[in-house]
Amino acid sequence: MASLTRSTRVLLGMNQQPLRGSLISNQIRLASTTTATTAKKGAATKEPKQDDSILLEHKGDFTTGVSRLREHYRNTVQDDLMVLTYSHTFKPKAKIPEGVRVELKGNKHIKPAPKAPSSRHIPELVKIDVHCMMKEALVSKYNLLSGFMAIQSITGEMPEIINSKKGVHPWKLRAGNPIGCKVTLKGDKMYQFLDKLVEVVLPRMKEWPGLPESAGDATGNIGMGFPPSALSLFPEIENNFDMFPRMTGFDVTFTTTANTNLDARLLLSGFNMPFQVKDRSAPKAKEAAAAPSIESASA
Amino acid sequence: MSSPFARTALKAANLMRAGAPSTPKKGGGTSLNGEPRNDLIKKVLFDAPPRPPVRFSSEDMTRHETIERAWKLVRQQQKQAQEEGLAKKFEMMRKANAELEATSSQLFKHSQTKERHAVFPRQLRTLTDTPPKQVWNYREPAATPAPKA
Repeated sequence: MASLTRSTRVLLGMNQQPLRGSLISNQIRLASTTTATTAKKGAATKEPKQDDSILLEHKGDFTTGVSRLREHYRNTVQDDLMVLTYSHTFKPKAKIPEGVRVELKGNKHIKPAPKAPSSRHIPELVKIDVHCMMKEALVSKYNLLSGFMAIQSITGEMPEIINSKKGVHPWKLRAGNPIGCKVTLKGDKMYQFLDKLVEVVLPRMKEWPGLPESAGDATGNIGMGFPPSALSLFPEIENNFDMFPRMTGFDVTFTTTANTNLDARLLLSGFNMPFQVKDRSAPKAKEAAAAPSIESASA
Repeated sequence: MSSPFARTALKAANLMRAGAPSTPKKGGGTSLNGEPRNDLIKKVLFDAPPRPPVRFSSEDMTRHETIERAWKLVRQQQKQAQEEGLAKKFEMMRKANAELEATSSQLFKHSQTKERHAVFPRQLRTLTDTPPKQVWNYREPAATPAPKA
């Protein structure tokens, strides 16, 4: 355990020296690298010793390998999206003057005004949020550790623990209970996680027809949920399945810079995310397709 | 296992096994909530020893900074080239649309109507280092848009 190599630390996302965890171990850690907290990002701090050695400030997580899906986006998807989402007729929405409060009926909210089409406003994947809520944590908060470790293994980032905001007595929930964990993925890690999903996990899921045709929240974000059985399909968890006391479900939210559902779906399908496609051929063609099969059956 | 994620998966497995005590503990170790695996997970996550700091000489530091700046510069140039290419394509597209609008209003309207459920085809292949085991399926016809279900 003491011989944690740098690569395993990177694997487990432990480079950030988490501020969660036992207070005493944190204090010891902080005391050993006192200049780390005060130094600016990337700045070198000088050691007070005689040898001319400088303490290198840790800058960020290093991911090995090229981001395959980012390259794919830049080479293929971005150009096609620019053409597919282009609209020549653009009318800018009337801006609401400052100080005026507009309230829509039915608890609706005002959607952000879309910007004029340009080569800089192409739908792009910004971040992926992976979140898991465990009801077993109500019984004992240590039950959350399984989901915590699972999400960390999958994503490579240390999740943050989510506490309940309100209490619900029928569910035995008190305010401030640790009930779930969540992690936000950006950049290389995000593309790696998406790659894993699309190449390994989704093809193996049983009876999953693809994301619905109407997926999306009308502002360019798409969410999906996974059952506990999906967790065991990830390679990191599949290999040491017995080490996890409990398999938990989780949900994944894709945040994009798209403005509409269509654009968001186009973007995700560009990364090979399967969507359900309905047969929208003309009714005559459907009848023609049905007729020969009836004839052949009767013959 | 031939999957590209085999290396990370194996490392995680080795780590978990290494963290387990070699000899069984006598008496009551704090197995959280009666589950000894929770104890192991907590140890792996939070009680790991801190990383020793990296020490550089001033020479190494200059080398390191130079490399970092050079790589940043390369990425900046790539990004600029990419954006320029996109801007040029966009301008050509805009001009073409304007010309079409001036030429025929019916054709222009037809070009501006978008399919509501448009997605990239499922056969789209993302780039890989090596070709797939089955490069092309010669036997079955091209996949139809309607799913089997």
